[in-house]
Formats: sequence, structure tokens, C-alpha cells
Amino acid sequence: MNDSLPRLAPGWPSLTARSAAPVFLGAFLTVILTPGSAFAHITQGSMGGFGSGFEHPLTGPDHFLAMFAVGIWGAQMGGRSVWTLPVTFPLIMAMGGLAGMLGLQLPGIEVGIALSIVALGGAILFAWHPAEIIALLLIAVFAVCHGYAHGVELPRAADPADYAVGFVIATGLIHLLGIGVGLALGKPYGGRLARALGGAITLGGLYYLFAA
Amino acid sequence: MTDRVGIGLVGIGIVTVIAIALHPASGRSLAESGALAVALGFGRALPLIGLGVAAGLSRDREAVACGILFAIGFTAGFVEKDDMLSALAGPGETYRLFLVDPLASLTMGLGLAIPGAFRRYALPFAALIVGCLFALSMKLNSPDPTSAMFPTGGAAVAAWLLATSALFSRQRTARWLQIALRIFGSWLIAVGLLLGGAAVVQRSAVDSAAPSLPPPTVPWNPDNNGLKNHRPNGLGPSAGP
Repeated sequence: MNDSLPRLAPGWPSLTARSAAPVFLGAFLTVILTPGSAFAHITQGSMGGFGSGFEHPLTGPDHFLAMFAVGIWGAQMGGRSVWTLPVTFPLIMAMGGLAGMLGLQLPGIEVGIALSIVALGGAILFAWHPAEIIALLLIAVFAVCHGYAHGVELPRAADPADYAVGFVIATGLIHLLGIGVGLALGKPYGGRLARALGGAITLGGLYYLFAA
Repeated sequence: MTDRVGIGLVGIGIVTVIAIALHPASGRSLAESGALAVALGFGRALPLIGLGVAAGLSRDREAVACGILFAIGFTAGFVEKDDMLSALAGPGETYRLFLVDPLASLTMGLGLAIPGAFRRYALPFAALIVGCLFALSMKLNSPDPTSAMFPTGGAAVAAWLLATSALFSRQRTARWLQIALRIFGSWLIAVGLLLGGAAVVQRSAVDSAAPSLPPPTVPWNPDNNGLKNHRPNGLGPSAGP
């Protein structure tokens, strides 16, 4: 199935998940072996209530891109994945949030957040359609990272209850936005627009990994 | 017709909530404060909206049963609040009282996230539990525990949220609505887990830091009427020949 994907542009080689895997594996190893290379954010300072929680995923480009990509990827895969990914992500994100609140030390959170953008953008770019369990496991790993970043800040919020509600709702809305965009861009030009958007998201992720 | 009734109800409710919110806080009655506590309390409002939408998507008899069971649960929680709160939190465990809203969110989230075939059986139980927890939440947050007006105001808004949510979702068979309901259920579960975790982390730290009273330095003797006859210098009715 991967070999029959349309080329992104005339003259370009046919990109498949299989051919891109070594490239991504090399990038992944480079990142995790390079200390301090990621700059995805865990904000500091005091937080407010619902408004602060709601705006946190929206004003954090790293969070926004990842959540957006989850929705697009689910729409691109189609079928059950349209809703299983947006259902799974908040649940696992809450687990990561609990870990953050409890003060558990999880290494590489910022790297994980940045990698989530790269991986999800890449999955969209190459129209990677793995088995559902693989996609959910990948989503779960990244959800822990994002949830942990939110959870660390939650106890410092002036109103933790409304803060938690705010960022969960914002996260879900970004998923829904991604699903809508993914469904809208999935048909024109054989889905090339969605894949190009995935490429742009990947570039954003690489920016957070190396240059931010 | 249903949409018009729903829109009318929403409009009336929103205008009422805004009018109450524009009142200075010092001038609000207990009922108004209770109404605002639900209308503007996302942690309480969201499970009610979820219950309303799910009931609206159910058959008529199931929707009515959900409403009745919610009312029964609310009444039970209101009447038996002392026993229920005692069962929930013992001495030194006051942080557990802050788990009432998270538990309601978790319960409703689970009821919504499960597949539709099972939801019709789980929803009535969820309505009963959410009603009970809602009543406990209103009593816990009431500025005057002896008055029923704060919970009454909250119950009025709860009924409004349930009715409008059910009316808007009735007769809508679009599959995307079922999917959206499951996504919303996952949100409620996530909110419940996060709120519960925050309550456990923050409040249990407060409970454990509470100072313990020092032991009494003078033993109390009921036969001597307590400390009355105890004189360090030996003087007093019990001293001397």
C-alpha cells in the first residue's frame, strides 16, 4: 500500500514510510544523543484558572502542532482512527498530568514533546497507516509527555480545577480542528495538501528540536 | 419545534445567569450563588451537559429514567449527606471531600466513553451516581450549611443544563454525534483524573501538615471535678487538715 502512494510533486521520488524510516531513525538517535537540544516548553510562573488552562495549548505552538497533527493523522487514516486517537490522547495525557503533579521525574519530556511534532508530522507527510495498536501506542507515549508538561503547572494554578478543564477542552478542540482540516484536505489532489501540511508540521518539530 | 424550545430555554437561562452574575457578590442570595456555582463551575456543568446529551440521544423511556434517577440521586445525596460524607472522608482525610466533583466527572466520562450498546445500560446508573455527587458538591460548597437555598439554586441550573442538552440532541441520528459524545466522555475522564490528582496532592499535604495538639499536662479527674481541687502550692479545700 505504501508503494502505491502518489508522488508529492512530479520528478520527486516516491516517498514511502519504509524508505523514510532510516532517515527518521537516524534523526531520532541524533536527537536523543545530543543533550539539551530540545526547547519545547514547560512554562514557569503562576497560572490562573480556566482561561490560563485553555490558552496554554493554544499559545504554545509545540502543544498546538502536536494536537493538531493527531487530529489530521486520525482523519488521514480514516475509519475508527478518526475517533480512537482523539479519545485515547486525553486519557493518557491525564496519566502524564498525574505524574507531573506527583512530582515524578520523567526524563526527556521536552525532547518527547518536540519529537511528537516531528513524528506525527512525518506520519502525515508519508501517509503512514500502521496497525491501530501501533498508532495508539505512539499517541500514548507522546500524550504522556504533553500531559506531564501540563501537570507540572497545574498545582501552581490559582484554580487547578478550572485550569485542568481549560486545557483538556482546548486540547480536544484542537483535535477536532485537526480532524476537520484532515478530512477537508484529504480528498483534493489525492491528499497531497494534507501531506504537505504534515511536512510543514515536521519542520516545526525540527525547529523545536534544534533551533528554538 | 424541539429546536425552538431548546433555543428559547438556552436564551432564558443565559440571560438569567448573566443577570445574576452582574449582581455584586455581596448582594446575591444563596440561591443565586448556588446557580452561579453550577453555571460557571465547569467541573460541575460539564458532567451535567454530558448526561443531558446522552439522555437526549437515548430512547424516550431511557431519557426519562435518567432524569428520574438523577433526581433520586440528588435527593438521596441531599438527605443523607452527613452519612455519605463521613463514609467518604474520615478524620484527617478531608482532602477526600474534594474528590466529589472529580468522581462525578469520572463517572459521567466512563458512561459516555463506552460503546453505545453498553451505554444504554450504564447511563441510568451514571445518572444516579452523578445526581448524588452533585448534591454532595452543592452542600460542601454552600456558604450556609443550614440552608437549602444554595443547593436549590444549583439544582435549578442543573435541570436547565440537562433539559437544554437533551433537547438539542434529541432526534439527531448523525453518527458524528455518537463519536463526539465518546470524545467528550474521554475529556470528562481526563478532567476527573486531573482534578482528583490535584486534590490528593494538594489537600493531603495540608492534612498531613496540620499541627497536632500537645498532650495535656494535668490529668483530668472526674471524681475531683476536674482541675478544681488541684493546687500546685497545696492550698485549697483539699489541702490541710
